[in-house]
Amino acid sequence: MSARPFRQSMRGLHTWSGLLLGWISFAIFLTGTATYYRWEITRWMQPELQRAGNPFDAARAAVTHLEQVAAHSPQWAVNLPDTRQAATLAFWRQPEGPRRFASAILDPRSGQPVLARDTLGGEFFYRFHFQLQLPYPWGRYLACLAALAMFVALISGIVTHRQFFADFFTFRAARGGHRAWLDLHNLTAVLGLPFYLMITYSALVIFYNLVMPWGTRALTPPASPPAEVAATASADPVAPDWVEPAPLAPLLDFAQRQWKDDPAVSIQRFDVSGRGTANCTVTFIRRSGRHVALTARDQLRFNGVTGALLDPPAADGGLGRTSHGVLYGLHLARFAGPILRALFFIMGLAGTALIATGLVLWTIKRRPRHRHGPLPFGHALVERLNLASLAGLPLACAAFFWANRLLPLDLPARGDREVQVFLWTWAAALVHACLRPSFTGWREQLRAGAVLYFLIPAIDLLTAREALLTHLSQGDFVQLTFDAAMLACGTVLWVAAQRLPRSTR
Amino acid sequence: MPSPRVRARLAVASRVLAALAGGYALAAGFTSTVALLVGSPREEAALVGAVPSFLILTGAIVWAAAAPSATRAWLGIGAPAILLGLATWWLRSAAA
Repeated sequence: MSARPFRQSMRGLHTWSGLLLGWISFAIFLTGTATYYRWEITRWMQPELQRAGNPFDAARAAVTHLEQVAAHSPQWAVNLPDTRQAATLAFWRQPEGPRRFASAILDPRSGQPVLARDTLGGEFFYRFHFQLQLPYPWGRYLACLAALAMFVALISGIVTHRQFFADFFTFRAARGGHRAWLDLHNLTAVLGLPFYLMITYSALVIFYNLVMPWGTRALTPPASPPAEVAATASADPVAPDWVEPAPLAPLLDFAQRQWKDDPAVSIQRFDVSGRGTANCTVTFIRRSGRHVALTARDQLRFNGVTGALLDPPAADGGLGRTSHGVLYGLHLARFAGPILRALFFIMGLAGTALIATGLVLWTIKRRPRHRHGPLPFGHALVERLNLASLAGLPLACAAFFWANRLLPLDLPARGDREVQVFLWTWAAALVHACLRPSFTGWREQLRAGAVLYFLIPAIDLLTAREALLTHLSQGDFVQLTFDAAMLACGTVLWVAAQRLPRSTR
Repeated sequence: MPSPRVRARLAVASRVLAALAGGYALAAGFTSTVALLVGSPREEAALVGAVPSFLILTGAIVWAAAAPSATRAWLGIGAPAILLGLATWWLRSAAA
């Protein structure tokens, strides 16, 4: 075999690493991008809930509830609402029993469990973007493989496009066809290149213990088997040597005086661990817009029995933990305020478009070779999968939102049914893509998606008008903004359908 | 002798295997060697090895595609992978 020029070999690597898992990468990017607004999506999908007030008041209400239902639990962990999240999420470890953790969604004001519709909300997009609705751990493995493929495609793509940055200012839309798609691909690539490199690499780093555990394994001595967990369940038994924890109210007062009431940097969660023992520790964690790394959060720790303030934990220096923490934090962008979050979202959309244009480019470049005679199987397969993912996935997401509003509220396992609607719609899009002529199929699926998105605000008005009015009267525009975003999604799909060539094939 | 076309396909398959299996073995050897060299604290050591390991894996994949031949692709990835595997083995037995 003769030696090939470096750039040519990188072009081959770019083409195939981009194509083979491109459909999965597209789905991961689209749902992952939506995840930047997961709490806002959840708020739209649970219109019954209203925006919370002061998170310290929510913490007090949650404590009152936990003292009733989990007074003798060894551990409490409570996520508090903020300007984006409406409800309190409480978790507690059950002293005994096979299901070790119980959880409840609490009303921030009353501390009582809320009666909102059963839905995964924005959590669905978050989970889908790395689990892909596959059994553990296979979804994560596949997502990591897709992240690696995309990282390789980015590196080889940089080498392939010599005049990468000059290309940024080139958009030959008027010339149409292959050149326009290539220019669009290059433009989206340059637009967010650092973001794409960061997001794909940090995805691998986040799952290092799953996909690259060999450092941990080499250092860990063979572990002894875990102790058997007693299978007898009891709601809230008292351990014989129970040490009564200190009341939390004075500690919350202290934290509130320390941290003031700025909602952007107020209390985010609290943990009470080792309850019932002399080692009980209370930790208040502050919402922080100042640190990128998730590990570098401000916190206050107390002795849970005496209520004495403890020293803060030693700051983790260390190159490994710092780089891991910063990459993890960048990927999740929890530190980002509204403007930076919007920028991350736009970068995510650009990345989704980058993958989509790359996949379309593969077929457009090769199509003229098969002008005479039938399409080879591989080419037809790529075209069908492109259609089913690029047009079918947005369609399935729209169906997911429809299901949220139209399924009966008392349907058993309602949250799972919404996901099933999503999956069946996507499967139907795949079948449709295989049955219809290519351009007809594109036009039909894009238009169907556009219509579904256009109708979402109407359905919202029909099914959740009172919630919408309540939110608006409180100066809360999340539901309205979401409806506007749905119109924008519909417009994008409609314009895409209009711009398809009038070809029959 | 297989035809040139079959041989070209086998060479591509061999490069793909070198990139994925060989590249992963190389990255794994790198991770465990670095983790053992750093030693403690355990999480820090594991992360110093793991965080850059995906760059090694990417580098191996790029090499597998760019190497002048499939044999050279295997040599460039396999030799350091074996060395790092031996280093891991030696460091572990030295620590035990």
